[in-house]
Amino acid sequence: MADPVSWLMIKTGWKVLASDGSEVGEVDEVAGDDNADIFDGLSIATSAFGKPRYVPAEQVTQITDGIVHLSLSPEQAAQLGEFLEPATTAAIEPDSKGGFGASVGAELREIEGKVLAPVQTHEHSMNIVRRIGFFFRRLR
Amino acid sequence: MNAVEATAAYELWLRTQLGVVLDDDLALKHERMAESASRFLRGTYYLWLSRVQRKTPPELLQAPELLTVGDLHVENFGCWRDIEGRLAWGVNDLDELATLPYTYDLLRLCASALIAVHEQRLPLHEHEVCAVVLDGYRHSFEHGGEPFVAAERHAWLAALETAAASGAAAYWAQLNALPELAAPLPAEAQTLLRAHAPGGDWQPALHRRTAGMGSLGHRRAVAVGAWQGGLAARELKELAPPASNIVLGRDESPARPQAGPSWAPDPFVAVAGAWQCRRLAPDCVRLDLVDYAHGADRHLLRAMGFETANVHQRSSPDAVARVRAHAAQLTAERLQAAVEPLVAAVEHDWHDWAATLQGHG
Repeated sequence: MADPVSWLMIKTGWKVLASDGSEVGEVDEVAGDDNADIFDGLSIATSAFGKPRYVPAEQVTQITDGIVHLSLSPEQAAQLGEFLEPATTAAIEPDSKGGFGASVGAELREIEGKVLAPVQTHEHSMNIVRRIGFFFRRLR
Repeated sequence: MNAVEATAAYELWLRTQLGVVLDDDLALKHERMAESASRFLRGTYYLWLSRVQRKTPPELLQAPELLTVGDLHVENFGCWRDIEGRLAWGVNDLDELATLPYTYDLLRLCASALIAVHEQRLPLHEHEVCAVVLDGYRHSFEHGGEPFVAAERHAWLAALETAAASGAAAYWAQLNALPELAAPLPAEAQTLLRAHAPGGDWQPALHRRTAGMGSLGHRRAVAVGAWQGGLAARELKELAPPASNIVLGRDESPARPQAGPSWAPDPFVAVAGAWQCRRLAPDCVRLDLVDYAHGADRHLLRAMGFETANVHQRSSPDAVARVRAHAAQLTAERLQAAVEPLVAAVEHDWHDWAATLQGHG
């Protein structure tokens, strides 16, 4: 068994496991107050085309190097609520618009929109890249 | 997974990597991907990588790694002039260079050849494709690699030279007729162009060029202008990191391999930052299968296998030695058995893609 580590050590990309040991996502962001050592919870990416999900700190049972263990079953993890990020003033706008959906139709624009939405309203480009990478890795 | 989702994901990633993504060119790419399985394969390297990860036997998936072409296929070969002014032939586009198992290039080259056979554009039997590629590949390793240049040997290159000369007037007319570049080139690209102009007094006009398949959507410009009695041209293209970075979770900006015994590169290709500059001319082009002389298809495919090994031999001596030993044990039957499911997946994905596009047309 790996040694437990502090929540302050958690990094984006760490695996998040359900109570049965199955992988339910990757850490997207850590919410808390470093100075006061208050751990609020995690934003986890469960797919490239979904918004991040929020896991309250109470559901985190153990943190080891590279892995966060939850008390939730995979089914319960799938029901987690959306992570509501604090709004920022920075916006990352794509230089071009339309993209993939422009040539293939409204149904497909929706796919892109699900991922693009947070990019257009939050300073979050790294997380988008991580989510896309996660999407491809889940395909294997 | 389907091709639509994978394409949406890849193009979102591309928007985070490039300064500008040209949506009109992406739309054109989507249409071209629906035209044939070959074009679909060329346009969806990201999807190919995913398929390889899921469908390839461990013995090929975990083969020794070295610097691979990545986006290799039978129409990613072309010709150029080497530093001696000789017509050289080989891999044309190295935009997706990445350190991967060497088998990735063999699988993709063989798959593209099999698809071309299915499309009746390569008159070979299906069962001989992998054997011919592997034979050429191993032969290059056995001889330490050797570039293809038109000199005392490789008479077939002379036919390419003749074709280039006869089509020169039309080629330059086409370049000159390209639309004017609407947006100014970034400073980085301008500096690269100045550094690789034929001369300091060259005053080219800048045109927008829509070309290629996999890199449609990237900014691309052509500088064309008279210099010392005739037209000269340079192409500038914005490069993205290799798709293997996002699909396989790697983090690599591989350097272009250097000239050496197994490679006679185009001395006019240069990369600075995110931009690549290369010479364009009738004898400096990518070649479609139809551009080659008929009747030498087996020889051509074998040469493609040989040239793939030429590129591979630009890696470190240790990596080359490991690959040489592994490739010596690889049989055409095992390669064929790994390629066939991948080809089936590509053709299935292409049918789905074409149906989706038609449904939304």
